[in-house]
Amino acid sequence: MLTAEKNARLTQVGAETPGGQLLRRYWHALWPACDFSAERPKMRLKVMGEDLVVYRGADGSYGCVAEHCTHRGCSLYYGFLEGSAIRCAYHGWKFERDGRCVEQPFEPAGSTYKDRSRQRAYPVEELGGLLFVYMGPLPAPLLPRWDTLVRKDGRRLVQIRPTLSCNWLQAQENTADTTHTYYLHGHMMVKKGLASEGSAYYYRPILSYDFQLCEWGIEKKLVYGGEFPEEEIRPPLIFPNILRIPEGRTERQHWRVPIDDTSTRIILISFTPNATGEDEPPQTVVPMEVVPDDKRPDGEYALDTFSSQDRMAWETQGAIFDRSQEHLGATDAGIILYRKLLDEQIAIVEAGGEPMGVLRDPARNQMISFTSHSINRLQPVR
Amino acid sequence: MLSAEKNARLTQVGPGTPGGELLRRYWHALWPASEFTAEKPKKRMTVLSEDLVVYRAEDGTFGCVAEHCTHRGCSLYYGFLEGNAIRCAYHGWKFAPDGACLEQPFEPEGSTYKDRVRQRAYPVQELGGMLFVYMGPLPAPLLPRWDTLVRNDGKRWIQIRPTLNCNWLQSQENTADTTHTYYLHGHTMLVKGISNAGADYYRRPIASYDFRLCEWGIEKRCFYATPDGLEEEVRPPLIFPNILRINEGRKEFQHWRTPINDTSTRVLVAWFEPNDTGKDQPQPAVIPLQFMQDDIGPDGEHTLETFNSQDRMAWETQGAIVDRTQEHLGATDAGVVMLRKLLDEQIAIVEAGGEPMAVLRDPAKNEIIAFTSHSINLLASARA
Repeated sequence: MLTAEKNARLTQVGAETPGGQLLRRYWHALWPACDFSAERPKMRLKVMGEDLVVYRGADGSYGCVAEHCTHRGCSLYYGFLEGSAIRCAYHGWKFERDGRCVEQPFEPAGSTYKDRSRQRAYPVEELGGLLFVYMGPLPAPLLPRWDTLVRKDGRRLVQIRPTLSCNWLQAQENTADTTHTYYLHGHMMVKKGLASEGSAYYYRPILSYDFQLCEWGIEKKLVYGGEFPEEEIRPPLIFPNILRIPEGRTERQHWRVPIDDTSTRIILISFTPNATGEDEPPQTVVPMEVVPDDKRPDGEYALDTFSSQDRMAWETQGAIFDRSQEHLGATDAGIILYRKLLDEQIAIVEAGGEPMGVLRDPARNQMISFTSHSINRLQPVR
Repeated sequence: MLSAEKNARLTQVGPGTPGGELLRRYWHALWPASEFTAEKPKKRMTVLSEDLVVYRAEDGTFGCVAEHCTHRGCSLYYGFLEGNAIRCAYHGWKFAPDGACLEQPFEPEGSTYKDRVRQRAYPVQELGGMLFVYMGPLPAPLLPRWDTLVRNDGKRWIQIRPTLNCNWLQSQENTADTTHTYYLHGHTMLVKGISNAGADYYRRPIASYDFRLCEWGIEKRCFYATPDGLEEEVRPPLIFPNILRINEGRKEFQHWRTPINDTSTRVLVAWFEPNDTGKDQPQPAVIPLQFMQDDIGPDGEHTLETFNSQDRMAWETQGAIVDRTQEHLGATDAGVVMLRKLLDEQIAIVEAGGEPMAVLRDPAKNEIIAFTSHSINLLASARA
């Protein structure tokens, strides 16, 4: 149970909030690169409460600026792209990708006003077909080279899930919540008559669970009993807002990117290794898929997929779950650990320090990989 | 005219508000029982600003719990029904209909944690095909056995009206407002060119009106001036706090104005049409149900073609919560003034720890609560 103040501290994402300041120390998944083309080079995207325009410049590079022109607020989404710069459609102020104002038409000759005007702008990088943005203080840290983005021995797909109508932390707490899978997924699928090997995996009694801090976030251990006992080996919860999870041989990584305090974009990469383990020629275009809304026409959650079940649980907790009303148990130890970690890391940023999981050493960023096994091992005990 | 504070006191319905605490001393009409089936046994409902899940359990009994699981807030609407209990879909916490926590899967063996948590839960009872909920301090009083729900000498049906986009008190004040019927119903029908016996009834000069307190609420008297002299209207009283009883010809009906929240109100109606013999007749296992169509036109306007639409226009256009600091009451509003005074007094009784009026605890007084009415019948017979 949290106080209302602590709940706000952990959940708010705006630029001036403690939580928002912490989140701005990390690169955030923005959108698939393949969705920007010469015909449609600009997109409006809101991230952490800030309205942004992301564009592929005429020179092929990417830019990201605050949507509203610093001059008189017109949307730069309707601006003109020139080289790597963007020019406002209203009065023609022109901004470089780093936010510098390079032209202010019809201002007096010799005016230095433009040298004193800046558009808010953020670095964008592409990796594995996905664009990332960094909205914190410069210099930006390294963009982490997750294995799902840099491995070459297979194929990659980017998916955009239906936007969550709730705060990002509800989704992320679920990743530290190992026991929810029995009822929400295992039991639900049985009740719906949709039991499969995937749901049977989760429909096993949980004998023990345990959580430990690690370099990247929280390591989770879980032991299943019943007819198919086994210890589950999973990648950790990646701080602050990433889920890594296997499904069969496919490795998935979910970024829960706050749009604002009460909505969350879920971008996920699936990497499916080939059978040989040999590197392949890179995909020229990493394909993307926008997953259709999984609510039924009557507005109800279908509950026939793990995603729909999770979404129901997270969204029905409320737009921002009121944690002053909850009653946590021993099974929630991972959630408590995660909230404590989040609170501590916010405090580090408040004290002017650098929080965990921020990379600055290229030697440590060749490739960040994790192993998982368990779903593959579901078979009777010999 | 009321102060803003007094207006809030009389209109707010949430837990912890003076008005909400009074309303929680009464059983409230919830929904028709027949709407809960094996295929669709659960329903989300907001009552008195509380989000609830109402369910028909596997054993046929009804349960009502707060929607959000006390563990981590997931909606119990998506829970699993087991026996008479409901199990949260997220982590499997299982709750009895009284809110006791029966299971907390994967908590340590021997843990007594479940004995220390409760889900908010409220008693539900069925009568005459209607479900009622009681959301106040226990023990619950008796569910009043209104004649419309327990008479068997005729047929019964239930109607669900379009939800009112306004505070409940606006509709209830209307029940203490005898003289509105001349213009809002009688005259509107005339202007619209709609022929209607009820409108003819109301379109007669009102010679006098008066109001007095009674056991159930407020007794209303009204005399119409007719060519044959005065005709007295005999009607059931306004039933405190939120019930209207009225007749239409021989049909008796009863409206429950159940607050959804401060600014919307569910209207549930039980109809009873007596047979000619006065003898009891077999009642169907499932009481018929009628959903009334929304009486707002495609252009968003109140159609004003029915009494319901006319009333709804009047109540909703007063505002989501009418600002009673801006009104100017007249002598005709004596019933409205009396209702507010009564409501204020009964709120004070609850604040002082007492039991308000019309809360039944004596089964002998609850065999059947019957009222008589006649008036529209008189007009009809005069014409015949």
